[in-house]
This record gives sequence, C-alpha cells and structure tokens, in this order.
Amino acid sequence: MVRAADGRHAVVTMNENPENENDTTPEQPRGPEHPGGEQPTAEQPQAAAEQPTTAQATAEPRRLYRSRSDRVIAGVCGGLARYLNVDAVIVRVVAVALIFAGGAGLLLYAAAFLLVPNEGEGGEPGEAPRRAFVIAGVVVLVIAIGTLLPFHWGWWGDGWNLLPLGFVALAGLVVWRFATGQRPQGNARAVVRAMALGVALIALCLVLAFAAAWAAADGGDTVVAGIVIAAGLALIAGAFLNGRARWLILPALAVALPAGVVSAANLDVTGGHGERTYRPATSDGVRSFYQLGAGKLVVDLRAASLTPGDHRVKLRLGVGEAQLLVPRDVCVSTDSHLGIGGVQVFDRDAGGVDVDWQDERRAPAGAARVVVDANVGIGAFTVHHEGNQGWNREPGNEVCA
Amino acid sequence: MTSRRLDLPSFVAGVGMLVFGAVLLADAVNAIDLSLAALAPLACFLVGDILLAAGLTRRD
Repeated sequence: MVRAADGRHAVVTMNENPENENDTTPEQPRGPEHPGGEQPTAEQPQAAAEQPTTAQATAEPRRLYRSRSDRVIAGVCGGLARYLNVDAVIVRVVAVALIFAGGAGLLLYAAAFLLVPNEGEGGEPGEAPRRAFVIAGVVVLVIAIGTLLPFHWGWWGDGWNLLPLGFVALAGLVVWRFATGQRPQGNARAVVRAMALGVALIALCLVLAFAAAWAAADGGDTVVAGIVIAAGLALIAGAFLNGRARWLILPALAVALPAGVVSAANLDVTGGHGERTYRPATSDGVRSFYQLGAGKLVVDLRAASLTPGDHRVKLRLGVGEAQLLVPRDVCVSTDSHLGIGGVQVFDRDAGGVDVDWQDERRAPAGAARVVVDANVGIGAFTVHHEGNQGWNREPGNEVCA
Repeated sequence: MTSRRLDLPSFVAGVGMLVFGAVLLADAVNAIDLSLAALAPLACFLVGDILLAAGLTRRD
C-alpha cells in the first residue's frame, strides 16, 4: 500500500508485497461490491485467480448475499440494494409497500431469507443452503407469487390470510431484539430461533395480560399492584447487573397496562357472566341492585306495573351491554358512568372514554319515576321503551315533566 | 475486576413500574379514583420512557 501525498491511503492494483505471491490462503467472498473473478474460488485454479483475465471477470455472475453490515432484520434489503447498487432505503420502502400487495413483501422477504446466503457464507461448498431451506424457500416464493396474482385462489384464499402470520413472525424478531438489545444475526437457524423466542415471549405476555386483567377485575387488584411493584424492584436490581432482567420489561408491561385499564374502568366481573334477563311482574319485585360481571344484562320493567313515586335501581356491569326497558308511562332519570363505551337514553347518546351521563328528570304528580344509577366498565348502557332497539335512537321519556 | 454498567432501559422501566404499581395500589385501596383519562398519559409516559431509554442505549 502506498500513501498519497495528502496523507490518505491510495489504492494500488498491483500486489504490494511480492513475497506473498505464493500465499495460498483463500479469501472470503465479499459479495457483489467485488464482482467476480478477483477472489479465488474452489472451482478456479490458484494461478488463474492471481491473474484474472477479463473473460473470467465477466463470466462469473455477481452473487446476491444478505448484508451483514446493512441489516435491519436479516439483511435481505441491504444485500439486494448492494446487488442492485441502489440506496437500501428505496429497497426497504418497496418491500414495505409490497406487504400491502397481498402480503407478498413478507413472503418474498421470507423466501429470500431462506434462500439467500449470508454475506461471506454462500461461496463455500460446505455452507450451501440446506435442502430443507431451499424447499421451504421455493414454497414461500410460490405462495408469494400467488398473492400477487389478480385473482383469488380458492384453496388458500388471498394472501392476506398469511399476513397475520408474517406480522407475528416479524413481531417476534422485533420483540427478541428489544428484549435482548441485539440484532438477530448469524445463520438462518439463529434468526429463526430468535424469531421463535420472540413469538414465545409475545405469547407469554398475552397470557399474562389476560390473567392480570381478569385477576384485577375479579377482586385481585391489590395483588396485581403488588406484582407490578415487585417487577419494578426486580428491574431496578437487574439494571445494575448489566441489564440481565431486561427481558422482564415486556411481561411487566403486559401485567401493568391491562390491570391499569381494568382499575381505571372500574371493571368488576364478580357478578358472573353470560346473558341475564330480569323481568319483574310486580312493582315490589323490582330490585334495587342488578349486577353482572361480563355479558348482557337486561332489566325489563315493562310488565312491573310500577306504582307512582320513585323506584331506584342500580346497575353494575363489568364488560358487555346493560339494557333497561321501561313502559312509556314511566319517567326515567339517569346517572351513569362508563369506563369505555357508549350510553344511549332513548334518542340521546354519548360515548368514548370516562363517559359520565347525567340526565335528571322529574315525573309529574301521580306518575312513576325510575332513578337509575348505572356503572359499566367496558361496553354499553341503553334505555328504551321497546326491546331489540340496538343502537337505534328511539324517542321516549315524553311523560317527564 | 468486572465493571457493572447501569442498563438504562431496565432502570427506567423499573422506576416506571414502581410508580405505576403505586398508583394501582392506591386505586385498589380507594386512596385515589383512577380514571382512564389519567391512566392514558401515565401509560404513555411509562412506555415512552422505556422506548426512549432503549433507543438511546447502545449495547455492545
């Protein structure tokens, strides 16, 4: 190597050390930025490799590799960009766009991941892609091409059916990277292993999230809060052990966030679940308190022949729909709260998060009034004169003063 | 002697979990009335801090 006058290294094309002319150490293939012929391969004699001819240089095709230095997931886009001599961002944008073409982007990426060797590996005969990966890659490629066709193939539907699986696999890689702080790298087996561990962590988090939400809604909110605090302490302790507890972040979040939603929504499922209908036949049969954990709670007062005066009714529902049906000659005064969902009282409604609905009405003398206090964690609360109204607005409460 | 380096994402997540757990505990014992309007920014702070710490931390 010679040094240029300005101090930078100048590139020389001749062997700068004649003593190494007989050095037989094979060089690793370097990918398409050193297109063929410059490095010796197993098929080429050493002498020919040292003095490549123009014909050899043009005869050997460029090789496509997965980039090791420019990779986000498995280096497919980086390698393809180097192969095509374009910016890798362009290739990645096209790949993401192809995801929305029936999921073809994901499938093509998976095929390339299975078929294209890592940079520096594919040139060695002993490291050729294994047969199983080749078969899997071809299958994925066929599916990918199928998703691009302008019609739907009956036996697998369209490619969107495969899209969730692709997203799960990608999510697994992302989760693995976040949990370990390292990029998935190495051979295909290592990346698949990382993907599987990431998917397993996602599954664990889903189970934990459901269990935490259910426990908090079933009266165990204090215990769940204690678990979140314990996880916080474990994470702080692990932070001083070179982040060995970092994997605990996602499970801790999976416990904390659903439990927080349950607590904030005042979600209580202690009242059981299913569809429950109360249809009292007399005024005295009307209870002051109705509760259901999850499901549909219907309180039908139309046959109760309510006596004049106030009838106070409390409705408590964790998740689902609470429905109050009243006769047309009864005035309804409403005070309700929903954590997440909507409330509809005859022809008026509201919805969203932390919904407070107060509609105080007064009944004329001699008329009955139902004063309802409803609390729904997640779901809907409706008041109608007729059943099966759904979310249709129906005029009512005309009897109120 | 091995040097122990503080893992920022774990530390931030731990502190966040402590705060979040304390809020949940306070709501469970009816010391406060947690609403979704208050929970949403708290959860965003928790997740955002963790992601920010993870993004700013480079592991060798």
